[in-house]
Amino acid sequence: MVGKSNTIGFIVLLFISIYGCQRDNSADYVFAPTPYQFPERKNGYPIYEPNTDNPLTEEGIALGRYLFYDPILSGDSTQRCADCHKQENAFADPKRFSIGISGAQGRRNGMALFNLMWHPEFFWDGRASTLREQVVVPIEDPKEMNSSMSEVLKKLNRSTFYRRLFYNAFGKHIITQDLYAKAMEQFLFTLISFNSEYDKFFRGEPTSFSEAAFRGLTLFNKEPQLGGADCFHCHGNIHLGSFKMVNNGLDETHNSDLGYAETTGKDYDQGKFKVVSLRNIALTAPYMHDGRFATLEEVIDFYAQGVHANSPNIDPQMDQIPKGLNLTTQQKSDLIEFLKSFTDSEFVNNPNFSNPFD
Amino acid sequence: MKLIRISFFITLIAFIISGCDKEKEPKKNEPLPEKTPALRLTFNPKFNGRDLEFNKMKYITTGGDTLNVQRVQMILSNFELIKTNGETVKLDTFAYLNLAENRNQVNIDQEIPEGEYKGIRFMVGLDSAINHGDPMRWGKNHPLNPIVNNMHWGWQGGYIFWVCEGYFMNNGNSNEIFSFHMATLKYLKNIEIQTSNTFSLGNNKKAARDIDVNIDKYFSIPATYSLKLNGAVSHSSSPDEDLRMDVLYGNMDNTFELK
Repeated sequence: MVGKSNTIGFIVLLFISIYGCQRDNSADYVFAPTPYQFPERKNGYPIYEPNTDNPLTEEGIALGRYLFYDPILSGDSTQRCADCHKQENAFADPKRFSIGISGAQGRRNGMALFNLMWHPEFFWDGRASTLREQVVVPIEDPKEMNSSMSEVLKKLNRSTFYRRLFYNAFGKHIITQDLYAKAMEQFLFTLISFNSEYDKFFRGEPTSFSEAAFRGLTLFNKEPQLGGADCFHCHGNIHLGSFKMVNNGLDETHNSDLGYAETTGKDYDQGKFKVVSLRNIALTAPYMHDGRFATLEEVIDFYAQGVHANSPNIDPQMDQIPKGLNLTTQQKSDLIEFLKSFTDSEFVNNPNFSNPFD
Repeated sequence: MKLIRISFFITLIAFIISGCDKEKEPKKNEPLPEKTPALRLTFNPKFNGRDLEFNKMKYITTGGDTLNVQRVQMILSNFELIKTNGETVKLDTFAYLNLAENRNQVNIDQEIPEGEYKGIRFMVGLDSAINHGDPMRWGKNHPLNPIVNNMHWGWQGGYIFWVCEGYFMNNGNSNEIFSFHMATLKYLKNIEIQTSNTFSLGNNKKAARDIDVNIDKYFSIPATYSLKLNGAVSHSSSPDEDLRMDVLYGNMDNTFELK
């Protein structure tokens, strides 16, 4: 009797061992990814260069999109990436400081997410050199999602839904941090925004680009000693942002936030923060790393009269701006009209980027 | 017998666990050793013959200014090597250098005719076709990609060829910005530098040479420049600014030195 039950036990165990390892090979588990087709690149716009070890596929992008909108990534499964990065705000946070699952408040404004393929560093202080590093940080930050990657991977590996999606995207049965980060990278890389009225004007296409915006463009690209606002030194390329770490003279001292120096440990990097893209800027208030300015008018007023010339490490490209810009009320209004032309309505309404669980 | 059965169960469970774990990530490859180029040029910032330290308010120019240099950046093109017999060899190389961030090497790895070489020519800047071509066609690590070099003027077209920026002590004894951006085809600069310390290249021979970038001479030879008197800013974009840039453009002939 004992021998017979042992034999049955062996058979059951063998059955479990075989099916335990191969349970993911059911009909829903198909690894035949479809390569993603990027939009056509137009003259003057950057070439698409996803990382060679993570080619974009429809399956990988769809998976990343689910993860972005799923509270499973947070410690108590209540907070999603999308809660602080809202599509209608070009994936920026309209709150000055983001609130984490424990009610804790961060100290910097949540950054907009688009055209990330071309960013050399991430976060206001450049502490992540790749997007794959970046997408882990909010999960593990006690003031944000307050979890750990090991906890998140346990939850994902317990989910038949995600096991199937990861298999279909990457052909792997075990979900790892690397695969999680690659899926997020794939979705985030598709958040491409190059179709504002400014872009249409730039490309010579029909546009509602106004005369006031054109006057603003002229001010934007002219130096102060020539009567301009000198925005272009930091915001002049096709991204409308250099993505460099600079001190724009916001503060007289840097005691409250050391910025880039927290990443590099160098005194001369104190007070430096990432130059962001001005694309969709009318949708991404509040402004600056700490969201201190609620409106574009406040930002223009700061650059016109409020720059601290003696701010330690102020960037030399601020040039004549600390001496003050002599902008009339009309010129400030024209500049703001120009900034509003950077709004890409198609991007913020693109159904491919919205919540897939809806 | 019981011990054997227990051992068998343990082995089977171990097999199940290890079987399910078979897809662990492979170890990352070790980085490949860097390939030595045929010719490596290292550009070293100097002041009065000594290594220039960025972010230090301690350099005094012939014109009487006390400087803190923050940035020295340049885009170089049209490299040519000069043989001791005067023949020249064109190189297909672009470079973006940012000396404050130790991006200071130009590595040339194309086939070079065998010979003894005494000098180098290059342009600080880009010819018209490239300067006004589509700046975004370059790959993400290419020296001419505007995100790499942050030296493209965007809407206005064309690159800044040379940047020298920092602070100086003004008459009120407080820090003031100086900023010289050399741009436009008017200020495309041809540099030729030679050395008595000749070097052999070709037929698998490799060489490395230092090029000093003398910031003291940029502000003094042949024309002494005073930030306080002559002005501290030029973006090569107005007649007034051009008067300043003309002087510094002339001084660039003496700024580079092949060792």
